[in-house]
Amino acid sequence: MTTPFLEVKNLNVSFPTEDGEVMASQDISFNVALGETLAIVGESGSGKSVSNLAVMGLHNRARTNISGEAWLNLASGPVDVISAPEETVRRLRGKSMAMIFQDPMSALHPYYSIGDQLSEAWRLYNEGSKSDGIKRAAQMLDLVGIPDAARRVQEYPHQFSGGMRQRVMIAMALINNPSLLIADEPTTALDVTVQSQILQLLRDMQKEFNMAVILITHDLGVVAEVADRVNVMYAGKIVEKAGIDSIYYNSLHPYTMGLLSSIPRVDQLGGHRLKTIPGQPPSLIGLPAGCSFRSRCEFASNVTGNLCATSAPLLEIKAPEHASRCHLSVEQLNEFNPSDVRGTHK
Amino acid sequence: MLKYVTKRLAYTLIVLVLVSLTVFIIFNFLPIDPARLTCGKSCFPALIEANRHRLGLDVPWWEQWIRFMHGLVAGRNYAEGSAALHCGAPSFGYSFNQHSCVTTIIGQAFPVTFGLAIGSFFLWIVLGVTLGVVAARFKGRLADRLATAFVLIGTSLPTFISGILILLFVALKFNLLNPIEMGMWHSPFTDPFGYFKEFIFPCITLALAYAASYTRFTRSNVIETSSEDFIRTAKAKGLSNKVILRKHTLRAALSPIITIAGLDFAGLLGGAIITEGIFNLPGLGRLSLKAVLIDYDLPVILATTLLAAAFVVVANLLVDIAYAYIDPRVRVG
Ligand SMILES: Nc1ncnc2c1ncn2[C@@H]1O[C@H](COP(=O)(O)OP(=O)(O)OP(=O)(O)O)[C@@H](O)[C@H]1O
Ligand code: SF4
Ligand SMILES: [Mg+2]
Repeated sequence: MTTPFLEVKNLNVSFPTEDGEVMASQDISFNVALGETLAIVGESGSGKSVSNLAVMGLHNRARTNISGEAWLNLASGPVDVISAPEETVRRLRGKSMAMIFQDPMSALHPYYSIGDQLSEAWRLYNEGSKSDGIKRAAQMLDLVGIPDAARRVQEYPHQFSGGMRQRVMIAMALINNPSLLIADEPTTALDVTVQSQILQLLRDMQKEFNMAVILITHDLGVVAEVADRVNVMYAGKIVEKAGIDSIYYNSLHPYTMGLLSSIPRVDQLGGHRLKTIPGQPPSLIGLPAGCSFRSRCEFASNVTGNLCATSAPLLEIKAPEHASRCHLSVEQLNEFNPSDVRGTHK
Repeated sequence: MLKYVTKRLAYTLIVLVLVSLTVFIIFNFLPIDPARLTCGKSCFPALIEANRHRLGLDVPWWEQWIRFMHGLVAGRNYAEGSAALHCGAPSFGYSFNQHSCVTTIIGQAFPVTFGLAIGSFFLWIVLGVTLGVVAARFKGRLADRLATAFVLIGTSLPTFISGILILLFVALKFNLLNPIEMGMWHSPFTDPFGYFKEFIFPCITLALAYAASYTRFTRSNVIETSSEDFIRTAKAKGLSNKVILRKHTLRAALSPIITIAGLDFAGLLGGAIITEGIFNLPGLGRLSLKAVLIDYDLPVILATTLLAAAFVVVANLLVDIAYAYIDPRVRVG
């Protein structure tokens, strides 16, 4: 196996606030290799963005407590972006790692033309005049499937539709040929039809640039098409981590099972009621002892000795390449897995 | 862009006409008879009527308005025969009180007000924006607290107090201003130092009052803009904080200031009554005040009122054009 491009080890991110410390991400470890797509899935507030913003170095260091490591294995040698000086990390942003965000409507500067904004990104790491930058911008727009790119570089963000703006964001993120692309819910704000086009584009771009891609989403349905591996997050922690098929057909965590049974499926016609997980995730301030998912877990009573309430489960390898943060045994989990809602096993 | 400007220009002309009509209607209903004011206690009805005719007040208000507008464009004669007086275009009327064309009177007062407005404008923009940006950058730290204190003092201290304090405890106390010379006109071209001495204190007085609100406005706008998604995008690109602040944050945060600054400046062009009063500056503010309180000099009041309104309307136009130039969302549909 090749060395992964990004190695995140025991990353913790928390925000001191007046009400207490918000433990937004805890004990996050994962790898992504070039050419590979890792999906990060979880409900709103589970810490998906916070942990990845830490990798990008986009948190305000003065107001955020960050510990752990995040190594980028660059050609020039590995760099830990968590402990590296701010200036070092800045010079990796846009060049070695890039990020696109959920809302393309507000992610572009309203006063500058698309060409200006893309060219600014390109010129940061390339010698060239502004008109070279605009030319390069037009090439990129063309690459991401924006028709009439040479003319449209001169236009402003408000003249583009949501889907087109997300294409622009992708073009801008990729203009310096980064090795890692973090896409934070890139399709959430878009129409359903446009969503699949953008996902398709991301997949094409990944092939084109041979990037490591982290796709953040709260929609497990999206993941199936694009991801190689999945991290499921809940209340700031990774609760399950496995290859895409293992997650879909053989989930080993009650939370993931809940998520899966709430996906609408085409192979189940005829009024199958979608389940949603009842309840709310816990507050991230002063998390209670035990498993964070306990208050919403159907199976907590099956664990002997009230362990779910007293001791926090660890992220354990329960099957090959498959880790889960749950006190239940693999046998129990397999038994509880409501395979009927997920269709047939492969 | 050209279409937009033409449209806004036409719109501005219409507003100006409406404003002048409104002012004429208001003046028509004032419970003061300007003709009665043209002579003292010895007035007798025939003289009043004669003067009414000389002033052109014996016709309905709308006809007065038409004559006024015509006078603005083509100049105007007041009274007839051997007593006839001519005021060249643009004629704002004739002040029998001061025996002078109103345009001449305003022509003397306006440069004073203009100097005051320009000087204080420059000071308050530089001071307000700088303090605001510094406060935003060092939010919660000492610089921010000091700026907040400045805002508090500046907004709560009216110019009639700050002006007097500055006059008494700075300008006069340290002999920086000669009380006898106050209010004498120093040409900025022949006597730049005298001009500077005359204007710097009133400019500071006005600037302090305005700068405070500009500090607050800039600070909150910069802080708000800093949390915009497009600023996060700029960071994700790898731009340095300096470039982000200069090119991305300030561009978006300061643009709205143009609107307020334009209107504030236009308001000042109408005359800074209190500050001009304190520093004895013979500008439009003092002219209006004297015309209203002492002389009942209606032609002057009419003219200064119209001018003040016109400044604001024209400023609105210029601000809109400037904004269209800056914000592509306005410029390109
Ligand atoms: N600067 C901050 N200060 C305090 N709390 C924060 C801050 N940023 C994020 N949080 C909290 O951290 C938690 C995780 O936020 P995060 O944005 O990572 O969620 P997410 O999984 O990306 O959710 P979503 O799907 O809504 O984007 C949330 O509860 C959020 O309120
Ligand atoms: S540890 Fe207990 S509460 Fe948590 S998911 Fe497993 S069974 Fe449910
Ligand atoms: Mg998020």
